[in-house]
Amino acid sequence: MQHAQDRFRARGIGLAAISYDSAAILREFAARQNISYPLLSDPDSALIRKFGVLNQTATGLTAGMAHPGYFFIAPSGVVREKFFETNYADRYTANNVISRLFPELVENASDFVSLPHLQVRTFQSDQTAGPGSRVTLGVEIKLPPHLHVYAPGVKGYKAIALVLDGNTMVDARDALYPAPKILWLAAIKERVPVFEGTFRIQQDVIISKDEKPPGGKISLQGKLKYQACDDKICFVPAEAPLQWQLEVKPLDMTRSPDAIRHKK
Amino acid sequence: MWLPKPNRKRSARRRGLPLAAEIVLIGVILAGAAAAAPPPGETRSTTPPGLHAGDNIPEFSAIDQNGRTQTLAALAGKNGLVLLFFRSADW
Repeated sequence: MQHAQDRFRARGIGLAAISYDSAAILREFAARQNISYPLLSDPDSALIRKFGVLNQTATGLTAGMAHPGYFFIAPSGVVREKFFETNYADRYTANNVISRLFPELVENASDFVSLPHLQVRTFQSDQTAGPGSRVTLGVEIKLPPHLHVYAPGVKGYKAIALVLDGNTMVDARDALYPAPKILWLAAIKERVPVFEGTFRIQQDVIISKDEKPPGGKISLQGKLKYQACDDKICFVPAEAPLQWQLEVKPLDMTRSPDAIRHKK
Repeated sequence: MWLPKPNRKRSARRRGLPLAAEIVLIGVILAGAAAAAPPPGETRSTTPPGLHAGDNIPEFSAIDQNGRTQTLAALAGKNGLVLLFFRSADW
């Protein structure tokens, strides 16, 4: 988050965090974690309620806590976007939010690798994340001029697909494809959804809260399947292996000093 | 000024569902939740919680870790504010 603050600031966006903790707890936490962005105290959960993100089933020590997530708010006070999981225990990472708000800021990207008819590189929103974090993996694909690949939903052709191999360390969400361009192919008198130029396919995964990856590392494998075509011919369908590495850092379980911590 | 969003349960009655039907509905929802067995302190739902895109946030001022009073105007950059709600810095 601290690193994320600089990335947000460079884009003219402020960063703040809010919880039901007392200002004393937040002060101690900020000092321990070297946090310089504002941590707002909402000890009676009044703001958490007003934003509609109170966890209503929390009891005892946790009564009053918020569901974890982000709002992106315009200076006028209008909510532009929200990043809250439907499964309330899962959390977007700060870098994941940045990559959604500013998709052009691709970090942690590999070099482009040349495959038949196109170039591809992998990227990921985070290299290190905690259990329960939502991390975006993806591929960026660069096609030379006059070539296209078919988009999902095409009939009679092989659509491009990012396929992640099963892995018990993560819960994989559906791959997200950009909106396709509809191409009119005069030679065959057909309208087909395609991708051209440079585009990205994203694949979110949520790191398991239960599994302990060996050595704290998760290696995720996948495949890119596609068929490249120009306006006259289609080439042989191709398939390329993909790989992403994730480091899982344990959650900070240190509690605040006795005197200021939440009481049951 | 913050106004609560219309409550689904209440709007069901406005649309003319009798109270008994509403209670049965809630009963079914609760039974469903129990069957899905969410971990303690968590709820399973199909819609993310909270204000939606396009909503106005409530006026707010809050004390930060350094004792300073913060508002949207103080926190936002020229392009806005990313506000993270987190569970706790304590446990």
